[in-house]
Amino acid sequence: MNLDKLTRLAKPILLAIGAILLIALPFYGSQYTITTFVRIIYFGFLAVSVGFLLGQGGMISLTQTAFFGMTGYAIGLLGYERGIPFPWPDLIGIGIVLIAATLVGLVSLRTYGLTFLMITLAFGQVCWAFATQNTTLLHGWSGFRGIRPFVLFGIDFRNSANFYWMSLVLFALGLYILWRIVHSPFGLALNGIRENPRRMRALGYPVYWIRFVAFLIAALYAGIGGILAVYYSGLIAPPTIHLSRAIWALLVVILGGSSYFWGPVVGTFVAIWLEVLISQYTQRYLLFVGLIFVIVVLFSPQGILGIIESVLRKRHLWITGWLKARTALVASGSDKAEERPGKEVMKKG
Amino acid sequence: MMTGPDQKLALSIQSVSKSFGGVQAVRSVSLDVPVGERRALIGPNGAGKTTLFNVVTGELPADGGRIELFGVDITHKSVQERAKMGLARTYQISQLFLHLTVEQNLFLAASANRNMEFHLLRPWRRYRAEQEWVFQVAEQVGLTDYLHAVVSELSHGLQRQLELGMAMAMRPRLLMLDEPAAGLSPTERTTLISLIRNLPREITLLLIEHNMEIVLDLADRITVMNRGTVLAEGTPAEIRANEEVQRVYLGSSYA
Repeated sequence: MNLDKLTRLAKPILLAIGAILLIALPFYGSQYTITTFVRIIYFGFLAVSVGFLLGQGGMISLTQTAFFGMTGYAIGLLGYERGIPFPWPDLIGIGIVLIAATLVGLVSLRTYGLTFLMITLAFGQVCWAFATQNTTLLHGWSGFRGIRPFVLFGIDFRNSANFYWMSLVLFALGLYILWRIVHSPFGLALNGIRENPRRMRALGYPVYWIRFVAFLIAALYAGIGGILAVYYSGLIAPPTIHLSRAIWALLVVILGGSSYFWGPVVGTFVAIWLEVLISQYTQRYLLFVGLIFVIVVLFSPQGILGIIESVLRKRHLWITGWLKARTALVASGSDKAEERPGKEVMKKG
Repeated sequence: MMTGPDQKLALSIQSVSKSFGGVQAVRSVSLDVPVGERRALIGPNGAGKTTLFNVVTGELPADGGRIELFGVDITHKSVQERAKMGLARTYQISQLFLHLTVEQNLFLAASANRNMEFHLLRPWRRYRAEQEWVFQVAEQVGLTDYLHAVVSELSHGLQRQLELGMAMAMRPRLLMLDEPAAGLSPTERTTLISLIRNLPREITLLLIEHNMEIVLDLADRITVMNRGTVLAEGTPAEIRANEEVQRVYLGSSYA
């Protein structure tokens, strides 16, 4: 009973401490830490986009980075170069993302599994090739650099603390909305399609359109991440939407635990901090990040959160087992309750 | 469309055929099942029973003939439309959502065709009416204690009970069971038979089953199929006495 109370209390307390630490970050963290956290947030949006499709809908998509880059290019082309004021380039960017997702979705969502993966890969590669080869509008390899954030309601988002807080609010809001979506009848139907699309169709669900809406939602999240990325880094160029980034997002989701809601967030957090920490010691940090990834997935196909869950469950069992053994001993009148309680009970049993 | 006598029929199949390439799986089969009856469909392997099921549910289109559900022509209606009219089925091989819980499985069946699938922001647990219905169905199929269990961790017997529950959750008026007891142990089979026997009587039942114990226990009438056609139809006693049926199917022990 006490244990249950404790675990029930522990969760909100830990969450509150975590939230305070995150909000207060600019007061105790270095500039570099703030930058790292902003990167975690915008790549987090990308990972959440990939993770939502994979974890909830069973769709492996390699095209989310294209949506991530589209908003960036819209801001570079319309805002930075043509001087159209905020928020119009951003909204147009989101509009382009939704139109592109509609087109790709209508074609690719007729398929499942590997075929779906190949079609999304093809679209991602087309976007990348277009960005590298179009010199008149998108400036080919050099892209756009020197993009600065906006000033809104007197708040200057060129200040990195302000930008961090805005990103944090957006991310929290985005995750809250996605949490609601995942636990809605729509989210459950998406899970049903992941498990058994044929049965869902026989039950009368519009399988195609449910996947379509999920695809649009995911594209929207990637697009929002792209907006934050282009403002903070000041840069949008083909490497941002390169295939390696799409695969990185997929690996990060698996690293965190693709079947968990928080998997993409945890995966991004760990992957980016690993990169930051290991790159202080060696240029070949990617090798070590890769090794750690392999080790985690080898021991836990459900990623980091899978490891944490199994550890917690075992601990929980161990503690309740110990409590039960103790009560049994006390009940049987033994005064050796403090010493080796488990073994005593076994002898008597 | 809605003629008087037909409304007393839950299902009326009129000279329905279905071929796969050169193979005629179902040849001009006619079959009437009155409302509230429990009908068993028996016959050797390859007799066309499951094909007939798939044609009735709309999963396969009929090559010819006419199918009426509660007096309404459904020959050209989609699976979804037929489901909405009160037709539900179970599968010979369980078609469940393996990594979801029993409760989630039943909820997906209970909320099918209710235009809820695009509700994006309200938690599914807050849909009280569907939730209540899920609990009620879980009780009917003996799964109340397993609501929060993940389906892949259930025994085969419990999975078959859930397969029955999935169909029941769709609030069927005509329930079609394709070998509900396939692969069950004797104890599991007893449980499942009593669950089926205790289903509400107003639900019309059409049942494919190889196990004669189950058929004789549950069915009001029996239709025997062989090589895609109807061989005989009658009460269990009549079917047991029918010599032709004995020859192709039953064997001497039921004579």
